[in-house]
Amino acid sequence: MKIDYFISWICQALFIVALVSGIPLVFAYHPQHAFESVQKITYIIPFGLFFRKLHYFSSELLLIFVIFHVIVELFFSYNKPKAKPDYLFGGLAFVVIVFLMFSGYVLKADQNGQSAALVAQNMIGDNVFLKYLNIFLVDSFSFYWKYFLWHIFFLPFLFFLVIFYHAKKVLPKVGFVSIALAISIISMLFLKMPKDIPFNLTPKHLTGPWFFEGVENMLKMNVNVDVAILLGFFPFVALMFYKNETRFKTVINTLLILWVVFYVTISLV
Amino acid sequence: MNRRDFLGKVLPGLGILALAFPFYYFVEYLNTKKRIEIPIDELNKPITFFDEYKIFIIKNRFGYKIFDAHCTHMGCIVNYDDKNKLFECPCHGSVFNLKGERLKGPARKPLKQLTFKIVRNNLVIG
Repeated sequence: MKIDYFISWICQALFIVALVSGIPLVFAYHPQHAFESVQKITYIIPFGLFFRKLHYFSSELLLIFVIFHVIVELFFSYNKPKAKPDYLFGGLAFVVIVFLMFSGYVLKADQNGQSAALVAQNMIGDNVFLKYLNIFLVDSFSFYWKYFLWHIFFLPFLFFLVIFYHAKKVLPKVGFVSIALAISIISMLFLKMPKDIPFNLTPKHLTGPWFFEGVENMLKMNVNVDVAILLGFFPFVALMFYKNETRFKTVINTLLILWVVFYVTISLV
Repeated sequence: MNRRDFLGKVLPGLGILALAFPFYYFVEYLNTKKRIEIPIDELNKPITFFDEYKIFIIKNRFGYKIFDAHCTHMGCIVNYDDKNKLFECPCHGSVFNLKGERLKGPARKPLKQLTFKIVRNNLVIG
């Protein structure tokens, strides 16, 4: 099997592992008492920590493999006469995964999660076009309620929809699910999950998820919010309008390489 | 009814529900009146943070000052540094003094000061 097919199948399998490992967590999570319920899952409920870690690492691996998938497809792709890739839905699926991971980051409901949500709401609120979207995030009663709905219902549903149009298949092969489960468990054994920051601590520094580190650093440098959003989401926009036969393929590929160099650099500053 | 017809009817319904739900919350949010009452007896420190309302209340010899604890840059909750007598944003590093004025960092505006009344030994905000 060629490497590009292998990575695509692994991506779908990792999504299934993340989805299934998230189901037990949904029953123990209460948006009204978000932080307390996360701590209960982690320290009190039997196998709670196992499922939380499995959910976390399978999602992280999913994003990493999706990035591999994009790199392989754009820069090392072969001619695929039968399976014509759909970049519009592929790009949308990528965006959905990023938002799924972001909402998951918020839902851990510690100081990092809360500040990530506040920053996102303010960034969206500052943008002329996006500010109306804040009604889908901001909640006057329970801070995490809408993030919870996005994370467990709307975004997974949207993911299945776009992946169906992108890959023409929704359910992965069982063998790949076993591989995805195995690499997630191996990651659980050798890597550590970031610690939750409770509200009785006053940390010197709070941070968002690692994939938004570049956007965070741009904000610290007083870059305009709209510019930060545009620079942060450039590859998704580029992917959605990407076609193999386009005469701008080389230009877009070059811009994407430049973007990666820029974003990695600014993330590490 | 076959599966295709069933999904054709159910999926648009779910879509409408998905759009109606946040709209309902938004309307409810507009109808919510925010009024905070804090007993003055609870303010036994020069600076008190109320986590529930995300506000700082400063008590000095001139009276009281109430600041919204959200940073004016991106809305993170600022911390109070008792040693340096400063408010510091842990997200992007903006720093404010006890008057709420911005000293450094990406924030451009001072901390938002809230108006209040004293009613029956309570600070009433909003």
